[in-house]
Amino acid sequence: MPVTVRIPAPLRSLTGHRSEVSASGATVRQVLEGLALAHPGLRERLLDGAGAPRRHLGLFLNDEHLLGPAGLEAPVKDGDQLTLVPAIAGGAPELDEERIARWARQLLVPGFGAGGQERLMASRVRVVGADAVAAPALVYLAQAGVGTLWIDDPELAGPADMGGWLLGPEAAGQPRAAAAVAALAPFSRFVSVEPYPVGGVPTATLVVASSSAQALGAAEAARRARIPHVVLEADGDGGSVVSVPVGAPCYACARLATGSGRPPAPGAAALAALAAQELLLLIADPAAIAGRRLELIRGVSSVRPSARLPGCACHPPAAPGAEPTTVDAEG
Amino acid sequence: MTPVTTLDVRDVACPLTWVKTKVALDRLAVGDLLEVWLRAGEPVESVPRSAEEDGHRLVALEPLAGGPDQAYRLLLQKGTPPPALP
Repeated sequence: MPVTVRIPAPLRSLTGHRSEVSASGATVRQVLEGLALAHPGLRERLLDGAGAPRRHLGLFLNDEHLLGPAGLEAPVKDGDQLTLVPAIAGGAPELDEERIARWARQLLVPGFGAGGQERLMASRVRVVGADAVAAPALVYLAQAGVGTLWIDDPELAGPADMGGWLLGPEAAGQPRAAAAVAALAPFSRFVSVEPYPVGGVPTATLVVASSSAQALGAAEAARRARIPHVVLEADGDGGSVVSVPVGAPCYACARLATGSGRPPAPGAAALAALAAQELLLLIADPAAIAGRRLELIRGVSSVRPSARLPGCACHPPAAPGAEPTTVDAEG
Repeated sequence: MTPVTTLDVRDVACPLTWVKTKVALDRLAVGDLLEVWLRAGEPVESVPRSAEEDGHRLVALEPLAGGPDQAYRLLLQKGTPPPALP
C-alpha cells in the first residue's frame, strides 16, 4: 500500500534531495524496509542492528507518535503519511535517574509513564495569557516538566494579577510575560521558561485569554497550525475548559455559550489547574482524550464531548463517497 | 526465557522501586521479559502486586542466586497497559 514518507533535511542526501518519497508495505516496518532498499545508506540511519528504530529517530504515522519496536508493527493504509523526525543534538534530554526521581509520582499517573513524560520533556508549550487566572496553570505546567514554556502576554501586570499564585507586588507595572518568567524561575530547573518568541512554533497551546475574541483568535490559529490546544474561559467562580486535540471539533464549535462576564473569582484557580492537566494529557498521550468541554458552574463540574457546528471550517475533509456526518451541536 | 533488561532496585526505596520498574516496562514491547532485583520487605511485596495491577504477568519470584541475603529476582512479562483514562 503506497504511503507518503516525509524525509527530514539531514537525510535528504540519501533520497535524491526529495523531501517526500512514496513507499509501500502493510506495516511501518515494511515501509521502512522498502524505503531502505530503494535508498542505500538509509537503513543504518533509521534502524539499529536488531531492527529497532534508532533511539533518536521519531516516527509519526499521520498524527500518531509511534514508540519503540512495537510502533514499527503499526498497520498502514493507502494515503497514510509517515513522518521521520530526527532528534536534534542537544535536544530533549532523556528521562534519567534525576528526572525519574523528580517526577516519580507523576510517572505513576495513568496517561503518563516514561513515553508520556519524554513527550512532555520534548514539548514546547505556548501559554496565551499570564494573568491571575493563568497563574496556577503556568505553575502546574512548569512543575509537570514540559520542555519549554513560552509565555505570551503583552500586557503590563496590574493589581488584579497579584492573585498570590505567581506574581507578587514587585511585578506591578512590569510586562506580565517577563514577570511570570521571573516568578517561575524556582520551578524551572528542568524547564526552559521564556517569553514567547515571535514566530516560535509550539507543539501545544494553552489559551487563557482575557477576552472571548482573543480566545477565539488564538484557538483558531492553533487549529489551523494543527497544534493541540486547550482553552480556558473563566466566568466568576467557575467557567469552562475546552480540549481540542488535532482534528477535534474546534473551540468555536465546542464553546456553545458565552460567559456571564463576571470577573474571575478564586474558584477559577481550580479551572486553571484542570486546563493545565488537560493540556498535559494531550501532550503525554495524544490519543488519551477526544475533544471535550469541561464546565465548573457554581461548584458543580460536568464534562461532555464536543460536537461540530454545521458548516464550521473545522470539519475534516469528507472521504470520497462518504455521507456528510454533521453532528448536532447539542449532541 | 531470557529477559530483555535487568533492573537492580535494591538501593532505592518505595515508591521509586515501582516507578523505576514501571519506566523499564514502559520501554519494552508487549511480551518482553524484565528481570528486577529487589530487597525483601516492602519492595518484594509491593512491586509484583503493582505490576500485576497494571496488567503485567508475574513469571517468577525467587531468591536472588549469588546475591546477598534477603534479595529477590522478579521476572515480569510486559502485558497490555490498561486504558489511560475512562
